[in-house]
Formats: sequence, C-alpha cells, structure tokens
Amino acid sequence: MTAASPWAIVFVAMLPQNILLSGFLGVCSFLACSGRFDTALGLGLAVVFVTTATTALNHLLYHGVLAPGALQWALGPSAAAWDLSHLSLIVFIAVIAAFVQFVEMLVERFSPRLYHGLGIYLPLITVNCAILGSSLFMVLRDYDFLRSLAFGFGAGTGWALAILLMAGLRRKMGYANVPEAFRGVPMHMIVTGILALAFLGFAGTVVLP
Amino acid sequence: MIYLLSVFVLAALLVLASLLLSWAEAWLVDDSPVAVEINGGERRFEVRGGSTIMTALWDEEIFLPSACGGRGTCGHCKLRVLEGGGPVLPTELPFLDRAERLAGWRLACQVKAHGKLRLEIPEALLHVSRYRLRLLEGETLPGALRRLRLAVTDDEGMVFRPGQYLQVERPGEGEAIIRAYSFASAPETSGGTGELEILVKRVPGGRCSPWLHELPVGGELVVTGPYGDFRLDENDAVGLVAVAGGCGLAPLRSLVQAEALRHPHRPMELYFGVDSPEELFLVDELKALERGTPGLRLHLAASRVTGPGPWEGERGHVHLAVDRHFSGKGDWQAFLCGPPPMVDAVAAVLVEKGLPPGRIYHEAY
Repeated sequence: MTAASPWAIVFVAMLPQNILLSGFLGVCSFLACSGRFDTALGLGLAVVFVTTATTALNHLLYHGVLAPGALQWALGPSAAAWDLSHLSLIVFIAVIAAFVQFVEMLVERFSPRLYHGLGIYLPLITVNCAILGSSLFMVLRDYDFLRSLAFGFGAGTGWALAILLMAGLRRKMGYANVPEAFRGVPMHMIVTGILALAFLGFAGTVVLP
Repeated sequence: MIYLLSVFVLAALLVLASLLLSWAEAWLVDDSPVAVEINGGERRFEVRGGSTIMTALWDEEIFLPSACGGRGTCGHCKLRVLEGGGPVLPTELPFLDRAERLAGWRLACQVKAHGKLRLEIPEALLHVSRYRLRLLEGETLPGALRRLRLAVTDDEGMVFRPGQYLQVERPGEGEAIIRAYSFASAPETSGGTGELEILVKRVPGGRCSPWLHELPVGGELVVTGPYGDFRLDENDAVGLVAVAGGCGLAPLRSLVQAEALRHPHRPMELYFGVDSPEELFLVDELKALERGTPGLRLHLAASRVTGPGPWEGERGHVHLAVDRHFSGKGDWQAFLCGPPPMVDAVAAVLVEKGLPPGRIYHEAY
C-alpha cells in the first residue's frame, strides 16, 4: 500500500511514466487511429473512460474475490487460504471486454456520428494493452480503491494525450517532405520514439514514495 | 478444491457480466418500430428498429441477393436509401463509387434501420420468392463437386433464365446461413417438371457446402430466387463466348443447354478450364451437345498439363485457349464464371480482341 497522494499518482501516470510513451503499451491503436484529430479525440475520451472504470472495477474484483484470502467477507475464515489470483488475467480481460461492449452501446445511442467515425476501432479498445496494463500495474503496486481510480484515470489520460499529440503531428507531417521509404508507419514510429524521448524530460519531477 | 472454486467463480463472473450487458442492451439499444416505404409507396410496413435493412426486408419476404450472407463482402445487396440510414459506413465504401454514394446507394446488410426509411429497390427483386425444394438425385463429380437435381415442392414452380442463380438458406444456430449457387440446367430440359440442377463445390470447413454434399435423397432445402440480370441477346446472330473455370461451368451449362434447344445455330464457344484432366466432369454430355448443336464449339483446357502426353485438349490456363481460338470477329456477348484471377485474365483477352467491356458479364466466386 503506497502513501502517495492520488493526485501525484495521476500526474505520474500521465507524464513521467506515460503508459504509452514510457511503458510502450497500446501502440497499435495509437498508430492506427491518430490520422484524424476528431477520431483521435473521440477514441482518447473513450479510452479514458474505459481505463478509469475498468481499473476501479478490477480493483474491487481482485481484492473482493481473487486475492489470497479475499473471499473471507463472504465465506468466513475458512476462505483464508484460498488464492484465486491466477484467474486475474482472464477476469480482467473479461471485464474490459464487457465494459467496452457497454461503451459501444452508449456511444451508438448518444453519438451515432462518433460511433461511425470510430468504426471497428471502438471494439478494438478491448485489446488495447494499455488498459489491461493499467489493471495489472494496479495489482502489482497494491493500490487501494481511490488510488486505483486515480491511476486508471492518469494512465488513460496519458494515452489520450499521446494520441492527440500524434494526431496533431501527423497533420503537420502531411506537409513535410518525407522520403519514400519512410512514409507511413516507419516515420510514425520514429516520431513516437522522439516523443518518448521528449517525455523523458518529465523524469524526476514527481517521485512516488 | 481450489480448482472447483476457480471454475465456479469464473463462471459466476461471466454470467453476471452477460446479464448486466443484456440489461444494458435492453435499456440502450433503440429498437422502436421503423416505418419503411418502398418505391414511392408501392409497399409500406413497419419493422423492428436496430436490425439491418436486409434483415428487416427479409422478414417482410423481400429477399435481397447476398452471396456473402450479409457479411459485407460481396456488394450484391445494393439499394437506394432516399431517407434515413445515417452516414455511409466504412464497410460500405469499397463497394460504392462517388456517383453511387451521391445518389444514395447503400449496402442493405450494413445499414441499420432507425427512424423512418424510404427505399428504392429494383422492381425485379420485389418478385423474388422463397421456395422449398426436395433433392431427387445427387451425383458426386471429380474435383469435390456434387450435382444436385432438385424438385420444387411448392405449388408454384420457379421460373428462371439461364445464367441466373438462387440462394440456399441453410438453417443455422441463430441467423440462417445464405450461399448463392447458379442454376446448372436449362428450364427447358426439365420437360416442364420444374426440376432444376445446381453444382456445389465442397469447401473444407465451409458452412453450407458440406451440408449440401451430405444431404440425402428426399432431403429438403429452402431457397430464394431467381437472381441475376444477365440477358442473352434475342437476336441469335449475336454469339456467346462462355468461359468456365472448374465448377463455374454451372451457369454456362444452363445457357448452352437452353440455346441448343432455342437457337441451335447461334455461334457459341464454350471454354471449360480445369487444373488437370482428372478434374473434368460432364465432358461426355458436353461433347454430345457439341455434336448435336451446329453453332456450338467446345474447348477443354487443363492448366497443369504442359509437356507432351495423351491429353488432347488445350494446354495451359483457359484464357490462353481463348486467346488462341477466339477471333473476336462479329457481335458477341461473353459470360465468364470462375475464380477471380481467371475472370480477370479472360476479360483482358476478350477486350484485347475487340469485345466491348459492357458485353462481358462475369460472376467471380
């Protein structure tokens, strides 16, 4: 259990330890969807929502059901030795998949334009490693509920920030004279790497206890 | 003990998630009734919202052609959406050019029905019906093919033109599986009995062809049709050059059989290409047809035979045989049916020989 302030956790997850630019998770939909700014914005917001909610949900599930001795609140002291943490991966993925389906229905109902704009990339959020990564880090670092919420929000916002930056940069790149061999993904990967280097500048600004 | 608990906990969590999602779907997905108007009021009805136009129309006994079964990969289900339908979806873009998009053409299997819909559907499609057929005879042919001879069990027989196709509806878990098969016999050859034949190639792991291959004599199947807008020129001085690859012979057999009875002097060239001579089928029937029909010329091509040997037909791919023997002189219509690369190659050869592209009809499977 960490003593860090939730706000510090949000900041660190967003900038110094950006889950995409520092952890290199969630790069494929980042590369695929950063072409248009409005699509990137829509996808970014969806990812923030999904990451925050699923990290919190998964925290509850982990500490309420899966962790060693977690089931004692329901089944009494006999459950003290039971350890279901080996189910974490599959349960987290199932929760993320179900939640993304829910988000799909929400988006289709309240913004058909965004739904059509995102197309296949909305259900593809399910396999965004950054979201699963967020839940797994939450377990690893033993955050409590409030800090899990904060961490999920920070990680999701960091991912959204990265994709928005990329969308803006790609628009600028449209006017650049990129050599034939580098056009497309090669140049985007190089730019992502340079962005990651830039974000290294945040290292040491806030250090978590 | 821990394993039992793991299974139980996992199952419980998954069931809970499914229940929550079902509840969310009931709350969120808009399935209020949609008012549909077709062809300026020719037909009006209400359908349940949230389903695709194709499913909604299917429920109203309007059967749009769909070779891919509603998956958005064949592009056959085009219609015009005059009102409603929302923005064009990315899955529709490969099948609609700019002019079509501006005119309101959409893919019925991709557009969801919401609000009010005004549609325009080709008149002929409104007359497509559903029929029940019974299998009279099934003959296994080389190349994993089966010839099925079917009889219509409904009161009204199926009226079709040679070169058209039907769609078999295979009952499945959930949505029916739909696959298209060309008529392989001419309407006349049934002698008025309303019998028809189709050729089915068994696709390993396929969703429909293995079932059709295993269907016993007397078994029933449900089809919709006829579809296909190829029309042979009424004038029998206009020739027909028909090129088939493998089981693509089906519609061509229908065409040639029909013309042998109706216009036996029409210039016809039938090119039948396979990989190797062992895969040929119905050759005796075709050769007999050639002998009895003055205008018909038959060419058999085996693409894998290269060196000298007993094979008397053409060597190499069928488009090379077309190149060698088709003169292109005079007025011709072309019907090509086979794998897409074959269709493209033959079309290129025909265009080079002077055939206008508009006279080339093709079905690539």
